[in-house]
Amino acid sequence: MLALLEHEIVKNQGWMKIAELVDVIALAEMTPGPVAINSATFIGYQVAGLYGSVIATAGVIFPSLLIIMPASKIIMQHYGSDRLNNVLEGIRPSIIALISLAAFVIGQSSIIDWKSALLAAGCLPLLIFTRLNPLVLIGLGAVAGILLYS
Amino acid sequence: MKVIKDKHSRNKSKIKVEKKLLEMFFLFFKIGAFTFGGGYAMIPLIRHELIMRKNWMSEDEFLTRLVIAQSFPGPIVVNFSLLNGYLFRGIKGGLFSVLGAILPSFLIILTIAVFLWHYHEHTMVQAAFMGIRPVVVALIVSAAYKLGKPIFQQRRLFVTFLLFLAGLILLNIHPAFVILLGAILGLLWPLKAARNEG
Repeated sequence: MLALLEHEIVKNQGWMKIAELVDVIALAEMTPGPVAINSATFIGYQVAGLYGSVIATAGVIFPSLLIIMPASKIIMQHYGSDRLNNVLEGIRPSIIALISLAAFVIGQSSIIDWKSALLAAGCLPLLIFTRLNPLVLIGLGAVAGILLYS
Repeated sequence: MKVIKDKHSRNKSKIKVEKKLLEMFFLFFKIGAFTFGGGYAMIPLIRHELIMRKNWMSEDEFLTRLVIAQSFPGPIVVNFSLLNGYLFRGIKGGLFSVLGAILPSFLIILTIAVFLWHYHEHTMVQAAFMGIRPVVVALIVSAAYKLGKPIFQQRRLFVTFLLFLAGLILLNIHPAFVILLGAILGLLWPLKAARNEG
């Protein structure tokens, strides 16, 4: 989802800079609810005010609305079939590639000096090897930012 | 034991078959308002509400529906609330549930965007965000690592992943195209090993 957001909003539409988008994503992570909804509401408001936020949020739900409800009964029956499994299996490398792309693109604008590189490198093992809540790290990142950059 | 439990919950859900639309709305509203950190953090809360408190479905039903919601594009909460709402009460049920799930996010974000975001220009807030950005990068890398672990162990999937990533970065391929390509590849050239395991 992040890769798509970056592609469409920063590259195609030019609505935001990458750094702004990263801030919005951080905000969307910090507030309750799905990140996709949070960022859509926010970006929609920034670009086109209240109507923008309503339309953008509706836009996120729309594909699910179109797919899930009509398909739900058929899916419940076919769930576990070989063909569906093969498709899901095949999509997995694509999804990981998209997530990696997001890390790459966002990293380019977020990791700007040795301090930020160190911060990212320090967080990574904590995230992979411990069960630390990501929100705690975002909080610590904010504190580190204030200490290092202001 | 399990069968008895399932039967019991089915009987109960037959008695309570008139699941009130407003009840569904508020259930998902609560879930949307109190889950930080997106999809996975939300699962225990939903389970608690739907199975323990409301007794609307069995553990098995819950798991199946959750996996389906995860396999589709779009936020899990949105898919899950739509799916359940629809299976309970048709299109109206789906709409009430999904509205409940997203309304808290919408209101909270709108409040921040309207009243608080201009502090964003403040130097201290800027400095804080400069510290937050690298953390977000680490978050994304760790997500890719955790989700990708089973893929990195199978050579063909790993090579596919590398090719896709190279195509995205170097050739600027559209993200949706990579997903479509993956789906076609999975259909035409299924992994036998993965199937045997599953």
